[in-house]
Amino acid sequence: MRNLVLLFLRFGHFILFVLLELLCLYLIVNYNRTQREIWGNSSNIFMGYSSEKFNDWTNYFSLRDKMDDLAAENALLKEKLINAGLTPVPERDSTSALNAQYKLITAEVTNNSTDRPNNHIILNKGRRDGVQKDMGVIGDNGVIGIIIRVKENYSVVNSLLHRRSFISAMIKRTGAFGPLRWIGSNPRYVNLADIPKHHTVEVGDSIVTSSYSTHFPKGILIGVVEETNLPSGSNFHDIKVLLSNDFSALDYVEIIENLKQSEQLELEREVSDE
Amino acid sequence: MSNTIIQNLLRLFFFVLVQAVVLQQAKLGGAYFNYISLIFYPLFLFLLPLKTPKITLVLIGFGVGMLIDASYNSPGVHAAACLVTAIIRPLALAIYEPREGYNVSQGLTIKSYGPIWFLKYAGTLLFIHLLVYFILEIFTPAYTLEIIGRTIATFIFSLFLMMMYMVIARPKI
Repeated sequence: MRNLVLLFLRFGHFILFVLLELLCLYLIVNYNRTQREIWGNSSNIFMGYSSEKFNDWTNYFSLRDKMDDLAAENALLKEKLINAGLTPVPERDSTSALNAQYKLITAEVTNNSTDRPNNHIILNKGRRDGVQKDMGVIGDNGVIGIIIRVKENYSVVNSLLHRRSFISAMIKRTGAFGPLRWIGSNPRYVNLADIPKHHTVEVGDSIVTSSYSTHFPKGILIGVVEETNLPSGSNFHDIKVLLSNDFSALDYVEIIENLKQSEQLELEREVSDE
Repeated sequence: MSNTIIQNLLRLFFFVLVQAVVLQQAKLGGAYFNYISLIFYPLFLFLLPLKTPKITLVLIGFGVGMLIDASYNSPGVHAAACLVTAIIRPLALAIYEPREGYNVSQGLTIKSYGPIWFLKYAGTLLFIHLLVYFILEIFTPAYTLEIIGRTIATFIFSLFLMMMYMVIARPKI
């Protein structure tokens, strides 16, 4: 008690100052028209803002519950589909369907270059995730390249922008196919070679992967024809292809596992051995 | 002692009257430039005796502020500024203490400590008083420039008015 009195004797004026100052603020906010309006508006804005932020937070924490709800609802819908005699659409990554030939593994690009003569891309998935050599890699807008080396947690992709990367491509409209080559200067363009001159090629034709490649499913977009000409005396078109992927801005890509690749390669080997 | 109290009461009456009746109506900047107001009454707080207890100072500050607020019809605005002035007055006195110290029997006037000392002492307190006053009066952070502008314009003219009063009236305490 004595200490309290001493404290008040020492800091009484300051305590009084704070109390009276609070009283003043109360008077200002409640009995002055302008200040009351400003205070009212500002506190509305502040309360609105903070409750919005609070909602964001609580929403974030309830995400898992919502996910469970959605999954349960999905299951219910599928059940209804089956009961109605319709088969549900197979999932994208599912290998359970008998004829599923391709499986996708999502990976993040950890390193990438486009300015060298031979460009490689490093992905953050490796042997542990089931990645193997010679798998194809696609991005949001089409073909990226082929896996050439795999470590435990990482893998290296020979991007299309590599002088020794040969991907079998075809013109979607006519079905004529040939290897893609990068000349090594502009990361937006590659060249399509070996298209015989009796095929017509038009600017704007889509270039897609051919079915001869074991790396990619047939018909995945590579780019569109930007320029074409037939050099005099040559039997092949000279085709410049604008890539649909922007190789300088890759983030997530998908690795394609061809579950029947070994079978196909085996057959090819047997034939060539004979 | 009682002489001092009577003197201060008379001064309070006079200052509040001048502030409320004359200076409140003064429009120095004309109709288009209303940045300049004349805030003279804080001089009363500056001139209170040196030995006024801090807690009394705070109470007097609050009372004077409320009196002015009654005439300005702005409950709490002047009172809040006066409270700040009252709480920092001992600090200002400590900062500007002359080399030979204060003389308890003398008032805090030009006559006792000289015009430069008074200018620094009154200027510091007045500037802080006006800053707090205009912050609470305008009450919007978006108008920070207006707050500063009004504070500076009012400060110059009010301080000039205070110095005029000190030189002409020559108060002893």
